[in-house]
Amino acid sequence: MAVGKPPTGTLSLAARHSGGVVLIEVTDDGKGIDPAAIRDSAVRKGLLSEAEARGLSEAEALELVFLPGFSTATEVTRLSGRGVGMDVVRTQLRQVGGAVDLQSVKGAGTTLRLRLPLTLAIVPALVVEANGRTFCVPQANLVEIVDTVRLDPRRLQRVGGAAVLRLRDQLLPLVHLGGALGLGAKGGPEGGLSGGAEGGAPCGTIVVCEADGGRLGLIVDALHDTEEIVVKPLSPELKQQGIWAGATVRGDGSVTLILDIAGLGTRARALGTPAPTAAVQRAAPVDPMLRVAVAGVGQALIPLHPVLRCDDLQDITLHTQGALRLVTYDGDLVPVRPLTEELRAVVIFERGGARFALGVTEVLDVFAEPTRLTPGLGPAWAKASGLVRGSPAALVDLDTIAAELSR
Amino acid sequence: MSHSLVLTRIGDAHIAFALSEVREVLLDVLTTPVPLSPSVISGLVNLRGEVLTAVDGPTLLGLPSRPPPGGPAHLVLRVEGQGRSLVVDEVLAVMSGVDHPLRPPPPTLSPRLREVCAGVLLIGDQLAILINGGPLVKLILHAAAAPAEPRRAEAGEPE
Repeated sequence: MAVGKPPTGTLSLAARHSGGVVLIEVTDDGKGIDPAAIRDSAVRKGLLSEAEARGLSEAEALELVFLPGFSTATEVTRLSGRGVGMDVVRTQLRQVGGAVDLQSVKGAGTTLRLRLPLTLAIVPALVVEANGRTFCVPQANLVEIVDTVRLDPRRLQRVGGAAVLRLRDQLLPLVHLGGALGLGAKGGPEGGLSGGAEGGAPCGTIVVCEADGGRLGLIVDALHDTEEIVVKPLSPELKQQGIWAGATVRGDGSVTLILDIAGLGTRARALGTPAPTAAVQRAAPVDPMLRVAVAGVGQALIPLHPVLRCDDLQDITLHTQGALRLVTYDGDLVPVRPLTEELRAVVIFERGGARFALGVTEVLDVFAEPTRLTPGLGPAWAKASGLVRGSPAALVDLDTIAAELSR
Repeated sequence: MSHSLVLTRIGDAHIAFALSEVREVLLDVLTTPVPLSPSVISGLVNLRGEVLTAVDGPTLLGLPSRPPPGGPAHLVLRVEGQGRSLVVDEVLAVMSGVDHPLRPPPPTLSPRLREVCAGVLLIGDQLAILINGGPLVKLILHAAAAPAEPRRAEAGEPE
């Protein structure tokens, strides 16, 4: 008012995005910065000689406000006037590769222009909820979402310690996110992989993720939004857990962790594999096997990896063509090799790009315990045999069966 | 010798930090817990967009915790690189020009506290343990690197 300006001022804030940079402009219509006052103050503080100060252009003089400890304030309060603010602003911005500059017209106002690079990692992510906590799943890992409510319960199979989902051509291992994170899964203490193993179908939604070439179904309680999140690094002690890709600050100011899907998959597999008992030394990681009942033989083990799906013959039709038995899978006819006369289920598998089926009596579970197998023992189609849960089990030689059926 | 201090309380112990080692004090902080993390980590906090790892002071220093009804306080420490905040029960005072002699720590102090103790100050009629920032940061890193997830003992892994 002393210089004839209205008593109210305008402070305008503008932000825009241009060429990978965010520009933030703060403009006031205050008294502006007087270059002469800055020069005087700098000389008084001994930052410059009087001759140097006179030699500065107006723009150069304005730059002085960014010097540490520089202030034109005549009064120092607890909050301001110490000459720290602008110095800190510039230092912080430079640390992230940004810049700040100042324009001012004495008596007309000041404009402060902040430039922030957009090189911060921004990724789209799906926010999911498990056991009342939220987590982010990077979209890059996301394949699809399966709603368990609308799912045919027969496609969800709880086998041994592991739950799997029959999703089109694949058996998808399921992980209860809350359980895998030790949040007290609904599936009980070992909910890590079993995902609702105790009673009922796993409720919630299955988020199908892909990482390192492997797929994994995460069972979550709820889905929230898809958001563009800024990935912030975690301190080393949290990084080393191997299950976090970082953290992000959400719109409401809370911090949400970002899941590392590959790491989580590794962890879930480690949890799902029962520890070896003292008597059995585990030489190598155990490949999971499908355990089936074969009437007349007992039980058989089928390596899970090549298995595409299992079906009860109640659900699909068994065709016959002379001595040959066939099932339809994915529109194709697949030859069946019965392992028994009591044929009640088929296990469809893939070998060398072609599909074949094994006829069995019943699909029991997925078995991933170390087992001592004796090669060459068992029925003609067996590669080896061993004791599984107290009775003999024959390991199916898929290569022999595939060769037999291809003939 | 004159000290500028942040005086805090953890349980019944008065713990002092050099003012120069404390960036700021946060009250009423929303902490996001990190599943399966070591117990010394109390979670993540948002400091104006910066994600800080919050370290639980009582667990770190092996002291009982007795936070006031309003919840604990966070001291944001000046740590190289990643910021960390130390959770204490309460910040009692910020004092400048404390002109008391620094006494050596009593030999009965727990080894963990002795590791980070720069000395003992008599403030009023209370003894306060002055924490040495450098060793504290080392202790934080060491404690956090300790084998994680003892809480998963019940996960059906007998080994």
